[in-house]
Amino acid sequence: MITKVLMGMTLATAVVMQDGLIEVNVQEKGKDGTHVHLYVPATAATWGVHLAPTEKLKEHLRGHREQLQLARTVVKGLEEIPDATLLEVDTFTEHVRMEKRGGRFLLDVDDKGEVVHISVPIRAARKVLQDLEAEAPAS
Amino acid sequence: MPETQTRRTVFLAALALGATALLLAVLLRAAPIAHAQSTPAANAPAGGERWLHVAVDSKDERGDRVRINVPVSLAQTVLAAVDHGRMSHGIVHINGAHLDDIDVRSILKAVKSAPDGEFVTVEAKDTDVKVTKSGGLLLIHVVDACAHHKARMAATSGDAPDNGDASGKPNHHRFRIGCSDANGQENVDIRVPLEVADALFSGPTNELNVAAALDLLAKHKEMELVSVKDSENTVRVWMNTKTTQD
Repeated sequence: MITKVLMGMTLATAVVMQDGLIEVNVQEKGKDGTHVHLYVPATAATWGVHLAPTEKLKEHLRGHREQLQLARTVVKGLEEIPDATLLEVDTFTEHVRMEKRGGRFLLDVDDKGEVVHISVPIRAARKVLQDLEAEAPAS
Repeated sequence: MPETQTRRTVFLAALALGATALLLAVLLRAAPIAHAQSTPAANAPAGGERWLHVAVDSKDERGDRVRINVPVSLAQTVLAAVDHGRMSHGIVHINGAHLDDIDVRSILKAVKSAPDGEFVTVEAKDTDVKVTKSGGLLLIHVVDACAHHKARMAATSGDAPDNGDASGKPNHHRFRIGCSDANGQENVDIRVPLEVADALFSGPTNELNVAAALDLLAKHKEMELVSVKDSENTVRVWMNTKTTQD
């Protein structure tokens, strides 16, 4: 019995973690700055599209099919390229960095108000965009 | 429940939690490592993949800096997918006025058939443009002292092309344009393979075929494309097979 539970938990963890983790870390600057640091299994996003009410989803996606197609094309292209820093902007007031590293898309922003770090598994992002594109009605 | 059975249950529950935590840790670390192993190291030539690099540096005290690195294949894919505004699947629709009445297609046609050498010189009060052909490359050198006041440039007499000049060079065209303002100086150097420039202007007069130009550019390995230097900024665009700008 315990063995079955153990195997079940392991399998559940593996399924939930198969798409990796989305990390969001936001630190507001200043004395009372809020700090939000989240780890969300990307599976929540990939499965979320299938669990959302279809009609509501279609309503929200109406007219966005082309943008979704473009986003999916870009993300698919990102999946295929080697690791690299794609964009770096350093100004007096802000620093922005976009990278592809280890199968993840990384965005780091440091400006006057906050420091933001976002890390998204590219494969999961592509799956989500693919599913959203499939649900989006043709315009 | 007998004590031994309770201890056994607690032990097995702890073992289950520990195994799950271990698997979680392994999966979290394994995914990025697996991807890293399947992708080349950052500084190694990217298997022949061409990368476009853009570097913009501001010379003022703020020292603003922009660095962009884009694989040509990604640029090609995105260009083909974009259909918005003036950009349609790699074709950019332009207003003829953007070329300031310069017949680029005629210039290109003439340059293609001409031998290597300086071909076109545009001499203005504050602007010099030289178009040169060398080794299959189109080299455009611009020295512009009125970059911020282009709207006020007015044609002066002698803007019709005349063949030949005092040096006696054949096929040497000279155009005169007046410019009433001067504010700093800007040096622009553009190097483009002739075939790429040809592909860019291969369509109708109000179109630039960026997709075709990019396809041909990708066949070249390493190349400096654009260099702009003025009193405020330097801009450099180049292509090679590295993923970084080092």
